[in-house]
Amino acid sequence: MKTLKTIAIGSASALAVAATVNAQADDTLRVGVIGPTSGVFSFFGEQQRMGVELAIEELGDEVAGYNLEVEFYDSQGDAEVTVDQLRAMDSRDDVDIVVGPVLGGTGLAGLEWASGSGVPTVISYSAPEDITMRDRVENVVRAGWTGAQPMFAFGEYVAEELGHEDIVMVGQDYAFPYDQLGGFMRGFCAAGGNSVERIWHPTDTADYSSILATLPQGDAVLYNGAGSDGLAFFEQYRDFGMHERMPLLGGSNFYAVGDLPEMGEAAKGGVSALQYAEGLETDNFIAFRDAFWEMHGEDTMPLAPAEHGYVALKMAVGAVDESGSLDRDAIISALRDTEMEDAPRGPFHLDEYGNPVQNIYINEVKEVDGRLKNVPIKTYEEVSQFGPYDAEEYMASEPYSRDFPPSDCSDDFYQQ
Amino acid sequence: MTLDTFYFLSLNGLTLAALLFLMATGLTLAFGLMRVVNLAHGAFYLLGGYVGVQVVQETDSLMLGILVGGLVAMAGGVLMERLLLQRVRGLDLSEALLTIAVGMIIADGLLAIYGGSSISLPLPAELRMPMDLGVMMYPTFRVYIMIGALALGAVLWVVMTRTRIGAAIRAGVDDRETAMTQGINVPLLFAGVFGAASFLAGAAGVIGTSYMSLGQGLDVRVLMLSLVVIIIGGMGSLKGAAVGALITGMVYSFASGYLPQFALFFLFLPMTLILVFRPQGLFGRTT
Repeated sequence: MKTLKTIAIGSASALAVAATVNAQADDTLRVGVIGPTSGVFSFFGEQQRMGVELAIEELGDEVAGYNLEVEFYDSQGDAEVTVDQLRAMDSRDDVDIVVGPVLGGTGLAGLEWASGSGVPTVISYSAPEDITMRDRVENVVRAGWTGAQPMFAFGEYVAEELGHEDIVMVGQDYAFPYDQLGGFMRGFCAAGGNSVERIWHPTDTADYSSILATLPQGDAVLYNGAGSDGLAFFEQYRDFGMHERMPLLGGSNFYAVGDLPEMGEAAKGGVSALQYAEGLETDNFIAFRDAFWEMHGEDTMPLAPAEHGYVALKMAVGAVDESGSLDRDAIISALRDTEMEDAPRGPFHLDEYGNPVQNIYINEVKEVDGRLKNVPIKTYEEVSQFGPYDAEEYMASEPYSRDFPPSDCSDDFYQQ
Repeated sequence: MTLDTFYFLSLNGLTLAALLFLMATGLTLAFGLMRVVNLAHGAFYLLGGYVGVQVVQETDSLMLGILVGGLVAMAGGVLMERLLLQRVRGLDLSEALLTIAVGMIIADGLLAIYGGSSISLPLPAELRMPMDLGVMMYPTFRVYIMIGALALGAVLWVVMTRTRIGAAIRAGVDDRETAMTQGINVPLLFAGVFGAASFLAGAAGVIGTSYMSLGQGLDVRVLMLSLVVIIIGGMGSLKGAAVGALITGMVYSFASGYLPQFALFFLFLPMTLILVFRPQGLFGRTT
């Protein structure tokens, strides 16, 4: 027994020594990537992981004179697990830069941790706008988007190009769809829209038949949600022949992330907006997509979470390259100056609050080479998280909620 | 409310009631006979659904999918009863906790195999087409779901009132101890009822996926709805399951039609009232 104990202590201290040596060796750049690689939201985490792996392969083992070490951490889509993993990255594994989290709630948890720890963090797909707005902190930037960002353009497009004046919105009752609708309403009302009627349902509502039975008449329906709710709504909408009465528009994740193969042919013609489109035909995008397919197989389409993971890692490594050191302040300031001309989604740079100013694509579901894809039909360039609005004024107004902004476009709120 | 909307909401409520009846009959019979609230019942819905939908995708046969989905869940149910529940018979808390554990293991296993993304059931186009019901056009497959539930109810009624098996089950429900001394093959009866209940849950998993997308978390929601049904109707009562399903389906349909934000409130309100003022349920017996 005594020997056993001695051995245990011996190996523990050996480990500790090894860890110290590791920590002191500053020829290694350690990046911790966090996302839900298991659990219900594993689709998003797996996409991010695949994108990051592609970026690692392209960068090689050595960048800017440092050995690149990337470690993946599983958030399980849970805010508490996310914080535990982030703490482990900082105190145990001595990570220099964090990439992720991916989901809304975990992103806010990550922000809070990052503001305390000071570790440079590149948030990937997570979209709550206050991460880079009202609650922003110096060491956190974003590779992705805010919930309202693609929707300013979408609202404008729906009013101006599609000519819809009255929209019926059915949406999941939580923060992300509020943000999406907020952006939509601002764009829609400014471009001549009339009103948006909103119907919120609890998340995980499986049966929409009675919401459809009492659906008011409008020019089009906007389904503001995704995942299993989105798929069920889509199917039931068609079962009752509603698509012949009013076209179905989608929130940013509705057609774009995950459900499209299950929706099938019936989704053709569906319109939505995002800062990404897997139907892009630019050289940068095709090079990215082909390399992704070469690495992960052609069955897996790289979607926005994959590209955002890919870009986030390149931003992290690029910042170290730029600053030439692992000094936190130097990395943070280089991160904040990120400009990426050759990103797969199109060129972008960060605004002074740390969120990309980028293209927004209005996408239509089309069949290309026997595959359903979101194909851009119109591009809005250089869209920031504030849309066309002044940043300080935008942040001074209250955050989007169930009832805000107002449903009626003639409201004073839209006349400012 | 226009008359059209009224018909529409009523038919939606009936469809949901039909599906809930499939789930709740098994749950309520197993409870009546064995005093086990099978909290893995929702997981069997998920299990049957995933396997059944895969079969439909690969063979294009809907009937085969429903059958296989039901059989897989039945195998799971019988195994759980024989290998696990039997060992803790009579310990109410252990039994309930055991079924929770089995339900979680099944759901997690399905997550590992089928992933977290939702799936839908590919139905033949003619089943998706609307059918003229006189009062309105309504999707054909939803009409079939209602007819199927009625047929099931009729079959169960005949089995329960006209056959020896039914007599044995009723005897077991009424007075378990005495019935067990009358030469009834108890292990077989228990396994049979549990298997049939799980079969219905698995089949419901395939049928329900015709309009509710199947995914993680649906197991718990379906289980909750089924519990609401049998608490309203009375645990152990077949008639109670039918009436409870009707009430739950209708309340849910009209509430989500007019006040979708409060659909859950209205769904649990009748259950709460029943628990307070008539704890044995509408058709349950006081013990």
